[in-house]
Amino acid sequence: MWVAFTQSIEWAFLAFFVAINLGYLGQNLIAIYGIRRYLRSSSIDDHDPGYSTVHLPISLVVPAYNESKSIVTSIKALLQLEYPDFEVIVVNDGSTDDTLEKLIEAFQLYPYPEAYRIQVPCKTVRATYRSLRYRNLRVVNKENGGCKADASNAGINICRYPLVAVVDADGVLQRNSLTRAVRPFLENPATVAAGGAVRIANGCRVRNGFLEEVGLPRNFLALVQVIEYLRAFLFGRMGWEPIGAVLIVSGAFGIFRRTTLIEVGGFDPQAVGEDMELIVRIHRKLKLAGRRYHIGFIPDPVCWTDAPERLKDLGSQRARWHNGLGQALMLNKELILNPRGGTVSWLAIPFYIFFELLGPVVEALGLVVFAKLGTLGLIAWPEAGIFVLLSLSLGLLLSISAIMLEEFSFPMYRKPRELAMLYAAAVLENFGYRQLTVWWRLKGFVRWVTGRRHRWETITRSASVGSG
Amino acid sequence: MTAALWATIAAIAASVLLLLYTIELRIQSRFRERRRARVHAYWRAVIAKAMTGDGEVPPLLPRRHRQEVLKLWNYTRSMIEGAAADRLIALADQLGLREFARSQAQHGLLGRRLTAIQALGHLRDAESFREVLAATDDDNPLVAITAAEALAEIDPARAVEALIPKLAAHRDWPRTHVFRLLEKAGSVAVSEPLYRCVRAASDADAAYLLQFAEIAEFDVRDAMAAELLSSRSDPELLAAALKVASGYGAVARLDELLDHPAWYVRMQAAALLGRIGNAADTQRLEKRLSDREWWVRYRAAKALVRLPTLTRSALEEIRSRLRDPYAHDVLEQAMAEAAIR
Repeated sequence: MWVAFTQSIEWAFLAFFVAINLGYLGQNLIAIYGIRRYLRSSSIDDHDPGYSTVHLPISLVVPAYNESKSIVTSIKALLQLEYPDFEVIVVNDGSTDDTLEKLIEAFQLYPYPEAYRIQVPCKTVRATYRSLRYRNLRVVNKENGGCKADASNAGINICRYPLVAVVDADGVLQRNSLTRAVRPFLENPATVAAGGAVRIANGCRVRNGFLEEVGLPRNFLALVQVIEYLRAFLFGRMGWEPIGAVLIVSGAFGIFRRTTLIEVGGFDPQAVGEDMELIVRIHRKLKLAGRRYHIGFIPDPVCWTDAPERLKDLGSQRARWHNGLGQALMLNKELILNPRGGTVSWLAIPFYIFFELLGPVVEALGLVVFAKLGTLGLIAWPEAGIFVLLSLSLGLLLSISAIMLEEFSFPMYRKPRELAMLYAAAVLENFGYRQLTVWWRLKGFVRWVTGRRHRWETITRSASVGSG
Repeated sequence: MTAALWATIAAIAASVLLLLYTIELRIQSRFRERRRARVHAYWRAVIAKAMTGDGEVPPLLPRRHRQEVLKLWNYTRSMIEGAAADRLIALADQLGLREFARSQAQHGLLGRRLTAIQALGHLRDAESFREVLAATDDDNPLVAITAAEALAEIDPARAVEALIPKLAAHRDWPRTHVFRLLEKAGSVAVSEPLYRCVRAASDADAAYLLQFAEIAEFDVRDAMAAELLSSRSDPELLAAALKVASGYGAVARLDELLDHPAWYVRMQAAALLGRIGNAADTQRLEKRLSDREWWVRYRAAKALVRLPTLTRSALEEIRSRLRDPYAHDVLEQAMAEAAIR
């Protein structure tokens, strides 16, 4: 009986393992197609410099909570973006430090009685300010809503342009980020939201809020996250885009049609992963209403973000992301296998539930069962060894394929030494780091099951981003 | 387990192959970049010399460099006008770029087609007018709008005659580009065909076309708005006509339009008063400060602040007597905006 039991367990894990890796490899192939298509169409930028002057006005909403150290530099950088028509709206979410005072001083802010319509719910706005130095800068000072979603909603209420980009106050944008990110809206009028690739800023030289030189971090945790971000954005997102099933637009940088944001009720302040929840909700509402729409993703690096370099911060971030994943999917469970949901309902959401959400649970269960069988002497070690080797080699294949996609699309790490470092990280992450992420994601899973809420989170920043 | 072993070997082999492929990609890209830099450096100098009109015969352009040089030529030409532009066109002819652009505009890949169509415009290639006009109906909106812009360079007056009737059907064309090409033709060339098209168009199409009316001559624009305001009833069209109006043609119906059920008509009517109104319109606008729609309140407040004979103290007096908090707030905002400006 034990033999039959262990065999069935082995087969179950094997089936899960084969399915998840086939899924990732499939995403990879779709991503290659998507990137090739994108690169072909993006070649128009070379041919038609005038095309980049086509624009839709954009409101940049920058939620800020206790960002005193970096807020002035970040906003100055945003004001220098190369885009013909945009406004910046900073939402100070009741910071307890001197974020607002710094803004008032640096930009000569002037209290200003803005009369606007509250179209998505948010905490009370205490005051609005306009800058005497920059006509396109406004600042909203509001009561603390406890999360980025509430602050973003205040910005959505007050902004004036048809497109709204929600940007992290500590994110580093490229000067042409808006020109690039707006392309899905220009090319397809049905686009309601779009995101771009986010890269790791650690190790890069950032001056006055702009990226001066791309580099790799020395910190191992940050280095491994470079690989993770390449995987997540170049085939994690790009693999869903051509089939109309992008479920996440990164909270670090995303552009939305304002009317759509208002129609779906803005960001959900109760959501832990408000960025993913919003996109899944947009899918749900528009799919179920039978509307034609498009959520775009471009593989261009549009935003650079600071990655946590300490285990504690990284663990907390990953647990939060996983908690947010579970919550986003369950808040929109109507979409699961819905006959009207298309690829989102029948492909993306089942994939996210079985492989992303339940993945760490199955992996942890596998380890427990493995240990138990080991103590009972029921493990065939040569077979187990092959299985572990297979798991490692497929992980390596996916990482190397992400590096290849980077080289193929928008290579940023130009030095041979950097390429070697990326390969080394792709190998080394399999020993310890991947297992740790399983543990963090498992914690996030437990948090989701037990329903714990999230508030603004402070992560210790690396030296690369933040100040001057 | 044999399968797992083979899968492991396959995964490792694939990883190694991808690694080698990545290295090859990098080597190729370095090589391409260097070659491109060399081509650019050489031909940029040739183009610069030609612009000064030194009369030298340009070197022979190798076939493999034609595309790169055409891009470089396009880039330079898009920034140059006058005699230097004529010399650039002469250089293109000497290099055989006109023939190359004509062939690529028909048969090239997307990027090459775009470069070629743009070049035909920069070359003012009248012989290609018909082919380029056909490209304005291409399924790809980028090809279509690039072709439309090229036409405006080849023959602006003929281009607007041909393009204005197509505008309503090409709503995917970026408006900034449409404005640019109409501006190139000038208000005199645009006025008559636009008026003709607006009169013949359906309500929805006329409303769309009216947004380009600001390029038309002032009298034509106003006559167009007055005619539509007196003869049509579609709310979107009325709002579009009010937006364009800048004379008294609309005044006859203004009270009716200020009370129109569609908020955007009320908003545009209030905005129009801001442009043409005087102190006698104060009460009309004051009433709209309590409109249920924010935008109407806002436009009415802005209009009040703009009324030429209304002083700041008069505005403050109006504000102080407003009982509706929404009306009070919005007027306060408009006054604050005016003060900052």
